[in-house]
Amino acid sequence: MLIQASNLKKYYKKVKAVDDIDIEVREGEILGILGPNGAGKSTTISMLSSLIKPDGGKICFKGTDISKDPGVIRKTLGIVPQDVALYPDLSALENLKFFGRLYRLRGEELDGRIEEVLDLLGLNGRARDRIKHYSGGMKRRVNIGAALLHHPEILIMDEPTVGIDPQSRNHILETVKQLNSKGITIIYTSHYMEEVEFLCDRIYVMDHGRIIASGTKEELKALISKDETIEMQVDRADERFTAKLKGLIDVKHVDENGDRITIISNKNSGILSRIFEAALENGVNLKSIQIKVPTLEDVFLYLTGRGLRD
Amino acid sequence: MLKIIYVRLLNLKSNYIPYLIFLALPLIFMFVFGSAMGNGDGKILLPVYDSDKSEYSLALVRELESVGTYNIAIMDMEELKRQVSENSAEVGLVIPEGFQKSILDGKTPGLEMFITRESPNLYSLEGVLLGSIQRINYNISIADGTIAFLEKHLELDAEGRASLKERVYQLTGEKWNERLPVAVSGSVVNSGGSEASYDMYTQTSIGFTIAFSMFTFIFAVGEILEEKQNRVWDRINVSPLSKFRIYSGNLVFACILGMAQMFIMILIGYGVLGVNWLNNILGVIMVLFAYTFCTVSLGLLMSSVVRTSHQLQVIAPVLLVSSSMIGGCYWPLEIVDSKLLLAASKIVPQGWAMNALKDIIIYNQGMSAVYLPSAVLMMMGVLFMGTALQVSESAPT
Repeated sequence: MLIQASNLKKYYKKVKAVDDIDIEVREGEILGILGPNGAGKSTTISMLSSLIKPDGGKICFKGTDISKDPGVIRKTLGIVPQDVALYPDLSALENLKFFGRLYRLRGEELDGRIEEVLDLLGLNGRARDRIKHYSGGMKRRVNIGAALLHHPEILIMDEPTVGIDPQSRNHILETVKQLNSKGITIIYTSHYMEEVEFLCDRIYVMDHGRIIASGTKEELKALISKDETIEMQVDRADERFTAKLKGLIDVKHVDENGDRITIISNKNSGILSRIFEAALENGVNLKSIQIKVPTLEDVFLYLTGRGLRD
Repeated sequence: MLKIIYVRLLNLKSNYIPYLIFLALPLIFMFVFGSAMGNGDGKILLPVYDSDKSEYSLALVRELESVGTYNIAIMDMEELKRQVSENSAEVGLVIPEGFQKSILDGKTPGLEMFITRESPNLYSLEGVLLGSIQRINYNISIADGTIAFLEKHLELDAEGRASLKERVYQLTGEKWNERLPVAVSGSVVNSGGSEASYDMYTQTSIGFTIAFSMFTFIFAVGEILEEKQNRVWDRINVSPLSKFRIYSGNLVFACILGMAQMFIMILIGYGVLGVNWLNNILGVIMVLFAYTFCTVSLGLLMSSVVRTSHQLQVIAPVLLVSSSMIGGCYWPLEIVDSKLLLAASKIVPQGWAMNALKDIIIYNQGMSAVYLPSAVLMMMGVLFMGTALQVSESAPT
C-alpha cells in the first residue's frame, strides 16, 4: 500500500469539509475521487499531500506517518492544483526551471528534464513565451509539466481539465494514461464522471465530506444493477405528469431538468408502457425515450438523489 | 531561500513598473512639498503697494528687506488685493500717499494692511513696521540735528544741505547695522547637540523615505497572496523546501527591494537636497534596519489577515497613508498640538523611525537617541511576525 489514510477529518469552524473518511492508494493505479463541487475532494488531497494538517486521523506513506515526517512524501510527490499554479509573467521555460530547482535539479539534468516534459506535453515551440499569452489548454499542460520534472512516484491531479477545450482535454487525459503506463501512481479528482470512468481503476465517490461509495467502475455500477435508468425528453414540463411518474409502482427516483426527465426504476418491470399511459393521460408528448446503460452519474444519482453538477 | 529570491527577481524584471512608481512618486513629492511647505528660502511673501513713492517710503521698504524675514514684492493695488484674497500672501502692505510728508511734519504716518485672517505673521509684521518707522524717525532726527549743528559752523546752500542730510541719514542707518543696541540669540536645548539644521527638505526627505518605502515593503511581501490565490504557494510548499526557507526568501527579497528604494532616496536627499543623512551613519543604519524588519513583518501580518491581493491593495494604502500622517512623515510633529495625535504617533512604526532619524539628522543627537526607537521597532516586528505566522498556519487553504 502506497498511502493509507484512516479516519481523516477536517473542519472549518462548524463546516465538516472532510468527515471521517478512509482512503487507500495502491502502487501503480489511477485512483479517482469523484464528487460534486464542495464535496471535500480538494481538502482530502491537500491532506494527502501534507499541505494541510487533518483535525483527526492518520495518513501513512509506505508505513510512515506523514504528519511526523512530511518530507518523506514531498520528495516523491507531484501536485497539479486545480488552478494554473504558475507565474503568469514568466515564460514556460522560466517556470519549469524554477520548479525544477525546488527539487534540487541543476544544470544539464534540469535542462534534460525540461525538454522531456515539453516533448511529452507538445509545448516545445513556445517554451519561451510568457504563460499569460498561452491558451487555457496550454496553461493546463504546463501546469502538469511543472509537477513532472522530478519524476514523482505519485501524481495528484485536482480537476486538471476544468475550463478547457475538448481537444486539450483529450490530450491531457491521454497524457495521464501515458504517465500511468510509465509506473506513476495517480490520484485524480473530478466532477466529470466520464473522465473518472475513462481513466480510473478504482473510484471513491464523495459527497458532503464523506465517502458514500468506493470500488472499481464495475463494482460501483453493480450497486444499481437491480435498477435501470430511463431518460426521456418531453414537449413541455408538466408537474402533474412528473407527480404521476413518481407515484408509479417500481419507480425509485425521478429527476426533472426542464424538458428532460430521468427515472430510476426496478429492472424489467415493464415500466415503459405505464410511462406512455401517464403521458397520454396528461396530454404530454414524448419526444424521445431510452433505457440507458448505467453510468457513474447514475450511481451518484442513485446514492444521493442529486446529479453530480447540481 | 536563494531560489525564492531568484524567482522574485525574475518576476520583478517582468513587472517592475509599480515599484518604479513607488520610487518616482516620493522623489517628486520630496521636491514639490519640500519647496512648497518651506516657501523655498523660508521667507514670508509680502506684497507692497507704494502709493507715496517718496524717499521715506523707499527707505521703509529697504528697512523691511534688511530684516531678512520678508520677500518684498512691489505691485499695484489690484494685484496686491488679488494675492491676499487668493491666500497667496497672508498680508499686503499699502504705503499711502503723504507718508513722507507726515514724517516730515512730525505727525504719525499711517500705513494700511490688507488681511483675510489674523495670524502670528501679522502681529510680527506690525512690530517690524513700528520698529522700522521708529528707526527712520531716529535717522531723520539725527540727520536734522547734525545739519543744524553743522550750520552753526558752515554755510550750506539748499542743495548741499539736502545732500549732506542724505549722507548723514545713510551713515546713521549703517551704524544701526554695525552694532545693534540689543543682541538677541537663541539656541536649541538638546542632549549634546551642537547646531540644529531644520528645513522642509530634511523633513520631506526623511518622511517620504519612511512612508513610501513602507509601500514597497508591504506590497513586495504581499506577492505571497497572489501565490496563495493561484496555488503557486501550494506547489512551493509541497516541494522539499522548508517553510522557514520559503518565508525567509520572500522576506529577504522584500527587504532588498525596500532598502534599495531607501538607499536611492537617501542618496538623492543627500546629494541633491543637501539633507545631512550622513550626520550619524551608524544611527541611520540601525534605525532603518529595525524599521525594515518591523515593516516586512507588518506586511506579512497584513498578508495573512487579508485573503486576496485585491483586498491588500484596498486596505494597505488607507492604513499606510493614515499611519504615516500620524507618524509625522508628511508634516513635522513639532507643529502638532493634539496630545491624542502625539500619543498615537507612538503606536505606529513610522512615528518611532521619524523621531529617531530627526533626532540624529536634524538635532544632532548621538546614538542614545537611536537605541530605544530601534528596540521598540524590533519588538513590534517580532510581535507582527509571530502573529502573522500564527494566523497563516491556522487559516484554511
